[in-house]
Amino acid sequence: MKQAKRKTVVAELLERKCPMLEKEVLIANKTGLHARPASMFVQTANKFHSKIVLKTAQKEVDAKSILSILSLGLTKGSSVILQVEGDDEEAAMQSLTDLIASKFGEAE
Amino acid sequence: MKQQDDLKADFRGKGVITGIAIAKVRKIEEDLSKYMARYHADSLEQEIAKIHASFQNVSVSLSENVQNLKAKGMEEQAAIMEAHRVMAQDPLLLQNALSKVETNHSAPCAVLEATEEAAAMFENIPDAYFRERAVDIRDVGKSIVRDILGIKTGSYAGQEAVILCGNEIEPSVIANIPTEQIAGVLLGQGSTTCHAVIIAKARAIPTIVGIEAELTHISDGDKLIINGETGEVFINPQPDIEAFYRQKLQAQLALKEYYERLKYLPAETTDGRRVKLAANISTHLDVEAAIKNFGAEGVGLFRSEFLLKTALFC
Repeated sequence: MKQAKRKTVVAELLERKCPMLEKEVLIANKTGLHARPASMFVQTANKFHSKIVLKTAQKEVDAKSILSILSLGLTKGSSVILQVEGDDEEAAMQSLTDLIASKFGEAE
Repeated sequence: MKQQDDLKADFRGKGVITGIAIAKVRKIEEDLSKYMARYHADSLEQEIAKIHASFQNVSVSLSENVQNLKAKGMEEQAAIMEAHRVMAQDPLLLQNALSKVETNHSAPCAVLEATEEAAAMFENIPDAYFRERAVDIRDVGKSIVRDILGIKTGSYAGQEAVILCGNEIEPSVIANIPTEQIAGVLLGQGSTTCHAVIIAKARAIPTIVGIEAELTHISDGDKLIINGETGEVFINPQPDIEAFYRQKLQAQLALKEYYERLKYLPAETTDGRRVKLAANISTHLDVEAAIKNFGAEGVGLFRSEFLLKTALFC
């Protein structure tokens, strides 16, 4: 497979035809993806090699960048598409969806 | 002795955390421009290396902060610093700084521009909480720039407690100073949900906000009296004013000491009737202090409307 040089993560993901994991997730914790949950999310994402992207109707961002995640302004009740692609994509998808489902350990 | 009514404050802000503080003021240097003007850039390779090294240094020092704060049980402040650490490791921010240095050839300028761009992006988000994260990203950017410029953030150990004063005080600045070194906080900006205020609140430090117009009247090292209840500020007060407030401060300290001794005693009347001691709290974050500092056994008034406001730090 030809690998285009110096493409952004997002452009590369869009271009590739190979399968990737995709899941729509609901941000249900009361504060949304604010600083603390976003930093937990990034730290979890960084444990994996896979490329991980968060996608809303407006934009797509690198999920390993806290600034990008915070820039989405995801408040409680927002839904977002999580795309994972790479050799450890299944484990990454599992960990990240578990983290979101756990509401980042926040109290109700 | 004068009455309080006779003592006219130099000006008044919005008191957010009650208590009297009498101390010298330390103005938080937000302005890096004089250092920037003196900066001489090296070769592009060296500037690039400086950017990499300073991102790394700042993220290491932030993780040390996180550990220290956690060790002291300051979970809330630790979480804020943890988010800063993740920002200092942000690949996008680093890339952006590296691409800017290609054109401006100055590591500190490149970092400032990159963080300013990120901060501007936050300021466009409708949700107030997200908007306020612009302060955090600027804070991280300035820490990195200070590291490149070799500016030491002065040690506070062994010094007299000071009143911190600035338009915005960066959360990292306030989180890194031990509680006993901060007598009070004066903020130019008026937000009561910014991280600096939240940290001050968790530590019960007398705090006044919204004095932006008066900031220029305060010089580093001035002696100030601040009254966090009324929002009054006195600059280099007359002896009679100081005497009056010293007395109030003494009473405040004596009362605190007295309460401290009582906190673990059972709440019992002299004839042996046991009552439940409950604390009025604003958010769930106050629970720990209510138990630890005041020995509360329950909650009296709970400001449940705050739960509906999303602007609080998670």
